[in-house]
Amino acid sequence: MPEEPGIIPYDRLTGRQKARRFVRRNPNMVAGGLLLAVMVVLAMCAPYLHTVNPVEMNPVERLRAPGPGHWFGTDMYGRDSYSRVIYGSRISLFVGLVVAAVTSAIGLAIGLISGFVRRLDNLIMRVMDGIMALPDLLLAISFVALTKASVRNVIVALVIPQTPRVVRLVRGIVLVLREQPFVESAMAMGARLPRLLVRHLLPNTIAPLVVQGTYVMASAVLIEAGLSFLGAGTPPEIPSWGNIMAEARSYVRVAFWLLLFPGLFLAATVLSINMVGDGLRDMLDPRIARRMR
Amino acid sequence: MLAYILRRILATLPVMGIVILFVFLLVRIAPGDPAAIIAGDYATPENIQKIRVGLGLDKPIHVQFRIYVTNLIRGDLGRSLHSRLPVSQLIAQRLEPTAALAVSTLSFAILLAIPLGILAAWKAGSLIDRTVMVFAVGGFSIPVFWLGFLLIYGFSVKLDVLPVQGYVSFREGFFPFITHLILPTVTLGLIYMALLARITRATILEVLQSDYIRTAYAKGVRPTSVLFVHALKNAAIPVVTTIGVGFALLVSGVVITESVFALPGLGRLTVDAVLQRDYSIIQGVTLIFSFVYALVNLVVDLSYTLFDPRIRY
Repeated sequence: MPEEPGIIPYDRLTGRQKARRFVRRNPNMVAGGLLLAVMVVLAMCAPYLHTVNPVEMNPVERLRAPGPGHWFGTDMYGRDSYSRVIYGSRISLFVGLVVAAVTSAIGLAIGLISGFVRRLDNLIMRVMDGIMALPDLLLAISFVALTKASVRNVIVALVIPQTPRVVRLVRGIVLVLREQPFVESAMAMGARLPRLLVRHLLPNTIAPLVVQGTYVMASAVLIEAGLSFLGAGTPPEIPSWGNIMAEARSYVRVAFWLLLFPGLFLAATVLSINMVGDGLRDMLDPRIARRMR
Repeated sequence: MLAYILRRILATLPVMGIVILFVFLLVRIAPGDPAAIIAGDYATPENIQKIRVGLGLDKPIHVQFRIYVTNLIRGDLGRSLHSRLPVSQLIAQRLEPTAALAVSTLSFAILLAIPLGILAAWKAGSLIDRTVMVFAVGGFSIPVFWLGFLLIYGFSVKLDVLPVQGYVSFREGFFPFITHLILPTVTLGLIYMALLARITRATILEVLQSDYIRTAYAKGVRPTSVLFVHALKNAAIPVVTTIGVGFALLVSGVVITESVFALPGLGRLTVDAVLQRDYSIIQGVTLIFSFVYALVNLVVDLSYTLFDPRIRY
């Protein structure tokens, strides 16, 4: 095959050239990934980023506008808004990650079983349809209202509405795969159900699962903030972006900065997660990849 | 066709029944005790027990359920545990703001999102396309309440052209009705629009790659005709399905939007009821919502026959 001058085959590229190519082809995903990385670093290094105790009240300094001492201003109790927002990122990111991980794990397990074991499939899908029939937020509110307000309960409340989607996804893949010859030959070689599921079917679900996982994480961060905003989420002592905005809502006129910054960080975080998810999806779906380039 | 409609309505009844049972049980397994909440912090156990008997909460669960279902058949949704007002009356009072918001949001979103999505797909790769995509991803990531407050700050506080909060019925004046509804509609609508525009664009893009579209171009059909006569109809089905599915998203958004803009609607009613463990209201609202959702899905399914003549019931 005649080689055009100037085009180097992929294996001859250096690592740096490969990286540059990747950035050029997936600018959104790289931007999103960088932004997300910044958020994670902020969350993890919170105590070292010029913050003070986020719950320490200082009524003398109440409702100061953003300025040299308090970069994001102070709230109605004199607490430093900057510190609260940075510490708030910890809760949101933690909840998002844990919900995504737990949902993926549970959804994977149930989906694999549902797709493969026909007898259980009908029952499982009916239950999933039932859960999906109720709106996410209402289901989450109901759960949190029925139990004590705590971060752990918020996580459970967020996992329940999101799991059916993952189950559906995995089940769909398994349904297609179980007719494939490799499954049949594995069974002929004596593989029993657990081995079949784990060794042969699971690896094929990883890629779509990761993509869905990012969307679950974005959803979880948003809904957790919504729950906290309505008063049915993270307990008020722990600063989370939703909490902060809930307390600040009466101060729209006098201290808008209290609403501006938490929301900005929240939007940026969710946006970055979504961008990474979209990028991953475009990378993994050959149809879209071919069309977009 | 009529038989199909009736059959579909009958089919949704068992689903609604399961949802009702689910909510009924879920709420009652709760650790919280509404009688204790109503009685307050300083009540004695006898007071609490008296309240419990008065509300009929002391009877065994299956008896409670039987009473509830028989009342339901007669059209009685029960009474609120806290205010003793009939649930149907509470729902009727709060229905108007929520319905107004839902209708205006849906109209706003659909009327803007679909043309934008079509335009973006038609001119794929151009600046318009990229702008729409950025807007779509961004819009979906913005928290509803933050957007609401941003709009309130911009239009009500700074520019002072629109009212901050509240709801005015159109009976009391058409213009105030509109001005109070604009900000909540735009807030919720932008997010719904983002999702819809994205799906529309993706669907049209995919349809435009089809063989029959290429044939139409080859035959010499004008590009506009190809778009409007051939592509749109085929793209309609996934888009309409998304509208139906997005309805559930709308409900979550309505709850938050009503909270931000202080609209006295069903969303606020539900949240308050959940936080007070007011079982009757929760059950009633869930029933209403399931019914409406089933109706929406029915309309969506029926609309398929409009778009694809091959689908006949």
